[in-house]
Amino acid sequence: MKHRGLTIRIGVVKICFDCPSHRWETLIKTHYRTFMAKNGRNAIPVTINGIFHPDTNIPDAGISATGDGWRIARSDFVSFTDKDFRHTLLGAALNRYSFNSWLRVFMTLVLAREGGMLLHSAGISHNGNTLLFGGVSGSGKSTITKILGKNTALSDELTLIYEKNGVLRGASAPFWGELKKDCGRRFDGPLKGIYFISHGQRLSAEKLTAAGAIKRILGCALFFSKDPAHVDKLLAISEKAARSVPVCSLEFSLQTTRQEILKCTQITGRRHIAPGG
Amino acid sequence: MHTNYRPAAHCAWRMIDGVAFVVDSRNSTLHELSETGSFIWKLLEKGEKPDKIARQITDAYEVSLGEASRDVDEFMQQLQTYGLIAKTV
Repeated sequence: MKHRGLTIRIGVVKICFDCPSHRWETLIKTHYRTFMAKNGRNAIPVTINGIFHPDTNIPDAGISATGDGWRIARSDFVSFTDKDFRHTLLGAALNRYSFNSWLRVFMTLVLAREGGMLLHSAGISHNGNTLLFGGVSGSGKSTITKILGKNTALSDELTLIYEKNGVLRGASAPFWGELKKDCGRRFDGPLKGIYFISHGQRLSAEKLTAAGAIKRILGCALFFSKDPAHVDKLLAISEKAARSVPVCSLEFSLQTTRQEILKCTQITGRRHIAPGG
Repeated sequence: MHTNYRPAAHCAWRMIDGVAFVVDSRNSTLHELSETGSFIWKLLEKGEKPDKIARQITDAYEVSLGEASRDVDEFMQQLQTYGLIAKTV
């Protein structure tokens, strides 16, 4: 029986999955329902192979170059993508965790080509814009998401940054951490600030220099490709972010309120003058 | 006679506020160069030879040519150790 393609849209990226069974369709429809797109026009096609033979020798996910494209592999998934992204063949264990992990790595590959990135950050929508709160594991991304309210949350783990018409945008992604929200809400708006968070005694924010900002951004980028051209694009978007939006360090405590954090972002945002602005 | 060097093909870099950030794509390692290192990297990128780089250092900083040459050689060795530069023909 022929199964139709299911298309999801994450920020600027559209991916159309050709599913081998109803169980695969159900998995995608259930866990990515708010990211479903109406049509697969200009989407990157991915064919899911129903038969998967695990390779238990690959504990950590990685991307390696093949002669004519890329291989993404971990013990529970493997995919091959041609250089032009015209075809991807995926074999994966049929469960949401394996598929979601593969999708994260695949997104980094697509974004490396497009010039976007996935940043380890919580994110919220605020007045039609996107605010990101970056940090490594344990820095407080889930905690700040709880303080800021789940209703406006884009993720507590990974959010997408990309450029459209010369403007940086921040978009939600179906990649969650501790809060384990099934699919979250879809949002895509102009990026108005990146705040690298840490736990402290009180609320304080300090604007980073462009050099300091790019270090923090690169330190929180989810990135697997070893292609120098991809790394160059990652550096380009990181530099653009470091120069065009306020990038600050932000210390907060469990007593800090949503209003206090938003006021703090407004103040740092007002102080920010982009080069040439 | 000095050998000529260029940034290695597997490296990508950006100059931000006078600081060179060099990423080795083989292992995704970020190298933040010092002020003098960034100065040297900028000239390496342009294809300048080590002896010319040393002369430019004497122009920019108050050091003798001998001292500048030693610094450049030492820095080149460090870059080679990390695989960030490659010899050119």
